[in-house]
Amino acid sequence: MNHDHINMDDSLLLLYLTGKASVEEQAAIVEWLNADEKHREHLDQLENLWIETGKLNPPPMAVDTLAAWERMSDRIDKQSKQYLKTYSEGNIVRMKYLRYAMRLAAMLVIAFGAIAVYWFALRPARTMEIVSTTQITRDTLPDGSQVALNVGSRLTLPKKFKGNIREVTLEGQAWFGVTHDSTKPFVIRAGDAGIRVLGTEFEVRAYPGQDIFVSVTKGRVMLFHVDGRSGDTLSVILGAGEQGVLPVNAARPEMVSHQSPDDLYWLNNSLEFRQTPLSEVFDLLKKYYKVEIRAADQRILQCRLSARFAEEPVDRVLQVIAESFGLEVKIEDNTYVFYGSGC
Amino acid sequence: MKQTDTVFAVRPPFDKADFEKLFKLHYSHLCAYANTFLKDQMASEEVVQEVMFKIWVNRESLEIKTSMQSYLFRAVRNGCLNVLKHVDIREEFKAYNETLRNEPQRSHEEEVIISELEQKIRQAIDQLPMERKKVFVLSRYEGLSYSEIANELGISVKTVENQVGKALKFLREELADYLPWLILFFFDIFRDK
Repeated sequence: MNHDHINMDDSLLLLYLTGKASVEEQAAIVEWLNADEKHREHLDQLENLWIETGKLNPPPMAVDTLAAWERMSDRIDKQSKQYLKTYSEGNIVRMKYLRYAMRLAAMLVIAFGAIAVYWFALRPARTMEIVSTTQITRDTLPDGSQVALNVGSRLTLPKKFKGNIREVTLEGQAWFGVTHDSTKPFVIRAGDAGIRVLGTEFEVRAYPGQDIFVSVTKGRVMLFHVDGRSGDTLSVILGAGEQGVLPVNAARPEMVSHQSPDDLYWLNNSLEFRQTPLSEVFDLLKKYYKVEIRAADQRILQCRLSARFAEEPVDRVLQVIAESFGLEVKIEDNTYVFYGSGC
Repeated sequence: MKQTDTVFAVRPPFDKADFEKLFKLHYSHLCAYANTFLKDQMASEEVVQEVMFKIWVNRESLEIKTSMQSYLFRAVRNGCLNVLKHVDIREEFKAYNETLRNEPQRSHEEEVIISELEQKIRQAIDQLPMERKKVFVLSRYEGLSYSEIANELGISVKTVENQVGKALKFLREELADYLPWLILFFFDIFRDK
């Protein structure tokens, strides 16, 4: 075995082959090539490898096949458990075995009971919770991702992300700024929905019993729903500026055409409208300022507003809206009433 | 062109161990194929996951008239077109999709032929450890320089060089049995000159 033959680095030879080696490097390689017939073979082999790999169409991607299989394997196991459950429900257990079965069951109950006590009471907690009760809570997750939780929301996550996935559970409303890691997708479980990202910024609204909304500010996000029984997943991919929804009891998430302006209001304290009908604007203002607003003429509700308000008092906001459409706003019985004949 | 036996050996109904072989053998290639439609790695991987999962769930009732390989590629393509329908790039593919749907059920579907060499190269690349695989793909298929790769992955240029070197060495050794006849072939060309 020739010592130089082993020591010449393939990455340097590659620079030589692709014409990117410096003059000194070239000289060293030429010298190395002339030293031994085998070196020439080594270079040829490398060149062939480079040529052959270049022919691959479609070009290979750096995917983590093992991690993907792990995920598939998990799904298969979960699905077969589900299948066994539905299958055995219809089965008749013969009386002969019933007694043994019940003894076994009793033992299992005791054993599982002991495990459960350990699991829930004695074992140090491996998950943590971020809860915001009276004010918006901002926090940094173990992977460096940022999160802002709206009032009355709860985020559950492991103390340390392990394995091939960064998984958290959300109840309520939160904004996420996820650090990029293409080998460890970030997955949010929210009710029936799942949201899967690699690294991006978006907001999730998932209050129990309500439609689940995802609004993307940056990057791409996948909103999906896994059918518990069949294991089927239906998903939609959302880009920046897009919003997706998983309606209550629906299996298919959908993209909704525009982002509603209040999505990030709670975070920025600013309201931004883009060609938004006043009907929607009023609904939003009612919610945030806790006031009553009414239009004397229904046509007013169709006017489209483009404006931005930052922490302004409600009187001022309504006055600006009225002025921009040539309307009049009056207070009657604790209700703001808009007068005019539309736009 | 010779086909590897493993490709045909695994046919439904199969057990989980067979399915694992099938999955690991084709996963990266199917993802790359899906990516030609979706131009998004995450979405591509997702489609392949779905297709494979459906095949598993329906393994008892699948009727596959072509090779398993052809079946997989066709299923992934249809899965991709389905996703595109969702994300509303529909227009571009609408006509294409319609011809697909109206296509009469042919008994002899188009076979996907992948040479043994191509399959071996893809498998070898897929076996690289994750960081090395990324470095190699960026260098070979995205045409990035070592310093660009270092930037992209947040590692030092020295590490990139090191990883490229190790990747090439591994591939050379792994494919040694398949590359020699090529060497002769290229020598002939050089001699002609």
